Amino acid sequence: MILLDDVSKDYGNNKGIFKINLELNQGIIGFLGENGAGKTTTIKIIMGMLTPDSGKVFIMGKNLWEDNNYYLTKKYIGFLPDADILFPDLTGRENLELSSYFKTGDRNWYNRLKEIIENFSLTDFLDEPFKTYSSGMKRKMHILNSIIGEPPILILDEPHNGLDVMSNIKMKAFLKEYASKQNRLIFFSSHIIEMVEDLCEYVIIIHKGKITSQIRLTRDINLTEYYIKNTI
Amino acid sequence: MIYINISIITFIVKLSITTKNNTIFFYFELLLLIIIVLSYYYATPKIDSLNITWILCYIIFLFIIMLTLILFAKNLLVKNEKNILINLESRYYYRKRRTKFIKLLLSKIYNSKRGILFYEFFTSEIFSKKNILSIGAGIIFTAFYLILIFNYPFIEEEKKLAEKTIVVIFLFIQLILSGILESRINSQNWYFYKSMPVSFIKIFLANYIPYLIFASLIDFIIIAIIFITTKEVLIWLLLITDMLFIPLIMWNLSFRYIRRKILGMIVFGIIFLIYISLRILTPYLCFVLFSIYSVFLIKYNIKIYKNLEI
Repeated sequence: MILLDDVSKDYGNNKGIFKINLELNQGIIGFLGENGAGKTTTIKIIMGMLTPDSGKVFIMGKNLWEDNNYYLTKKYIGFLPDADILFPDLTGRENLELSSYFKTGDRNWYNRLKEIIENFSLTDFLDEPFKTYSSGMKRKMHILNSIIGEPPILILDEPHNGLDVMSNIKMKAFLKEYASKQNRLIFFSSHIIEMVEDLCEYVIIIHKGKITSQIRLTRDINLTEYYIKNTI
Repeated sequence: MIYINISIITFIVKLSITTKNNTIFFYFELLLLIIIVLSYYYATPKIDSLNITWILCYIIFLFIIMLTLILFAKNLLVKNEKNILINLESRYYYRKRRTKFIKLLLSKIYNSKRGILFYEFFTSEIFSKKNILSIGAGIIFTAFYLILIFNYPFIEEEKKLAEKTIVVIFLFIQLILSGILESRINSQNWYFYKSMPVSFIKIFLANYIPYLIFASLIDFIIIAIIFITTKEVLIWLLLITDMLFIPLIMWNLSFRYIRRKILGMIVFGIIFLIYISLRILTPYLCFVLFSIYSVFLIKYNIKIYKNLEI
């Protein structure tokens, strides 16, 4: 579903990502790395928000930077960035309406997410301006925003940030259910090993801008030990 | 002189809107304004006969007017995120807020993209309390300004020009319209748009073109009036400010870092200086050029806007 072919982005002083080759298919794939390892840079390149210095990015077999693919591929991707991107002066509902309009052409599409909205305890706040939400609520709104149109690919940059324990549990359950349907990929970055261990079938470790390891998780693998081994 | 100064204020306000809520730019613009006003005075031989108190009064009034207008524009910016949606979502977003009168007036046209152009203007934030107050304050200050000019003891020629208040009123309307329409431009929520299957440029155009059509049309009318009545160099100023406003917005949209914005401003300043030095060219030529420019701009933009599908 996503293919990165020799992708590099150099910020100087050994910062950035270097010759990244990745093939991401179905399931929940964790992207593990410490702060500044290059997780967000990789994600931004996949989203086309950063142009790589070299290499190619393919989404659903389409070269991101050819023809109109940049816009077309966005239909397949739900994106949760590490910062707020929704409109602070609009209400939660209006934000969802806007995303629905862009992604599906139907402004009421978000009504299909009623159950999840309730599950996230957001129903009573939908008509409040987004700026009045707590950070956890904002995060949950962003998660809802990313799944509008039920895209086959979800790219989540540290989705657990700001979430309380209960919300975290609900989010994990939701992501598992979302990924259980056929031909779906959830690619999420994190620096919390337990979160990745709990959710993922497959883990990619990035360290100092380079992929140091890719591993399918099994019961006999201790991810913490494995991670330490691959980042020193 | 009155036209020049008012057009300078227009220019500064335009600049202010595009640079958003940046305090450093506010002071930069203020400084620029004072320099321009002073340089105009020092460039004219009348300066010897002027009382320094009058000059100070004049600058203070200019400053107050500018400040009012900037505050007015910034009030609009607070709601800017809603404004950017109007083009795309006006069909339902403002439906619940419109008045019966507007509903009646626009019911026939608001479903077409051309209709949205008018629809968004009538349903914009102009009618909010804050803005009415700002506009009121702006009008009061302009009145003061005009009284000052009328009673200005030394410049007969300007008094004569000031009598043509209709031109000033037109300029003031243009100023307000520019503020409202330009404030629709927004580079915030860049990531939001980048994550959607829609071209950011198209969103930008959808927001910018209505302004461009309005502003060009209004400028054209004003310039025609001024040309017929006074043949002032304002023709140049409006022409240049509007023409430069396009790349300026582009700069501000694409430059997300303050360093680049400053660079953009410096380049803009240089272009402005070149313009000042070139303004000895005949206004007739300007008028012809501006006519061609306006007609093409309006025609072309309506064409783009009609074909714009988001």
